[in-house]
Amino acid sequence: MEQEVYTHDDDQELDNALECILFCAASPLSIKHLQEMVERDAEKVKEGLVRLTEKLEQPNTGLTLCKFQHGYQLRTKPKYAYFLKAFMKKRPWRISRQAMEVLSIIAYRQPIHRAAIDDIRGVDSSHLVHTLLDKELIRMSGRMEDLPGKPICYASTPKFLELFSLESLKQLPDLAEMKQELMNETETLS
Amino acid sequence: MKEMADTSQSLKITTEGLELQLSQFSGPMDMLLHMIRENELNIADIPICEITEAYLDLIRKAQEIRYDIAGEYLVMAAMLLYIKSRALIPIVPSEEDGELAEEDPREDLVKKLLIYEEMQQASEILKNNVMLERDTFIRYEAETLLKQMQIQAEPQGIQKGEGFDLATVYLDLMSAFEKKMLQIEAEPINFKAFFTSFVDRLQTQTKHEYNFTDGSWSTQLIVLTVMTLLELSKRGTLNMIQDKNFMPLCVEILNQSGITLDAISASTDLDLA
Repeated sequence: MEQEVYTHDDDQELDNALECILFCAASPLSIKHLQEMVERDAEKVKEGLVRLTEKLEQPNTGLTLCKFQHGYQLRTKPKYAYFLKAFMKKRPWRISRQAMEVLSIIAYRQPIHRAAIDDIRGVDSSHLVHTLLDKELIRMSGRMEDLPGKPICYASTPKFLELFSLESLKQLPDLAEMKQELMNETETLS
Repeated sequence: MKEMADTSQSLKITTEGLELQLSQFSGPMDMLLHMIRENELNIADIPICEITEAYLDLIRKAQEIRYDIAGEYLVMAAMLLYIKSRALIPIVPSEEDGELAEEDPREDLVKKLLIYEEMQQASEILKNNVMLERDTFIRYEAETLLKQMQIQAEPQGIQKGEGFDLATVYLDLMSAFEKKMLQIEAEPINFKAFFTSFVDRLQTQTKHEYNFTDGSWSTQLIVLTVMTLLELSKRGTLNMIQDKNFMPLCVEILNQSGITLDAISASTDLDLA
């Protein structure tokens, strides 16, 4: 079979190449990496990714392009999760309510040290912190230099963003908005 | 107070023990928040006296308190009591500067409760986000495409970093090492030859000395030798004496004819025939 050659000046070709690369990649790929792979400049790659995102938004495909601060990743659309749950041998992430509390506290208030987490929850959180460290959802980000004993402080990881499909920490649910909604709710209740 | 009585109902505290009930909550703050929610109270203005009563009531109802679990709840109870006691006495401005000597401990509690409630709501919302491996899936196994394509990471040169970064790099490297399987090679020992020469040696003299700590013995040889000697001494064919720990083991043969290959193989379950 005669092999067709990838033409460098065709946008359609670029989009397809990006799609192929993202299809094969297991972890998110940054623009810089994609750029090297498709041999185009960053602008072209960004344009291509926008077109690819639009294309995948159409109902005639089961995949979607997920954007993170640290890269792009092809994922399945949530509406087809039902079929994949049975097929994928991996068990879904299990995070207890307590661990979710700790994770949220760290995500919103990073960098934060353990005593501060315990203080908010009123209960010892050390084993939950260790579990989250093991799962690589949080990391040790340094020490609180100005506190006695310079305790280790924790921050969230890119894996945390990937797990909850958040582009960046800016996309965390807005606390002010949340409060407003809650106020409205209680008002309508009373 | 009628409402507060309802709280303990809804919490279903029974005399079966506090620890059963506590497992429903992730801590005393969680329990307090639950009580506030149940009674539709305003967090910013909680009636401390009533909530303290209700809280203590819950703890009191548990006949058997497991202090290891309930400790944090008792701390909260103590704090509530303290706040309550403060609320009961009139506040006298100190004469020197006219300001309050201490800040209101209730304020601190309220602040924490508000933060905690906020975090609980945020975690609920987060959990409902599109979650990997629950709502959306990605490719697995294909490890990093980057590695296969040998694309180099961004040139880094010498980086400025803290001791902490160094530790992180070290841990990363170590975890890469740890993944390697540790292989332990079996030591080739010819059992039959070993036991034959062992028997020969035992039969030549009546006294023997074994110094296992001189470095010439492998673990396996020590185990085999000791097991064999123990078996023989059980049969009354020899006596073993050791002065001190790690000193040579002195063996005295009492009955030469008892030393046979059969007796020895009995100690090791090996068929030496």
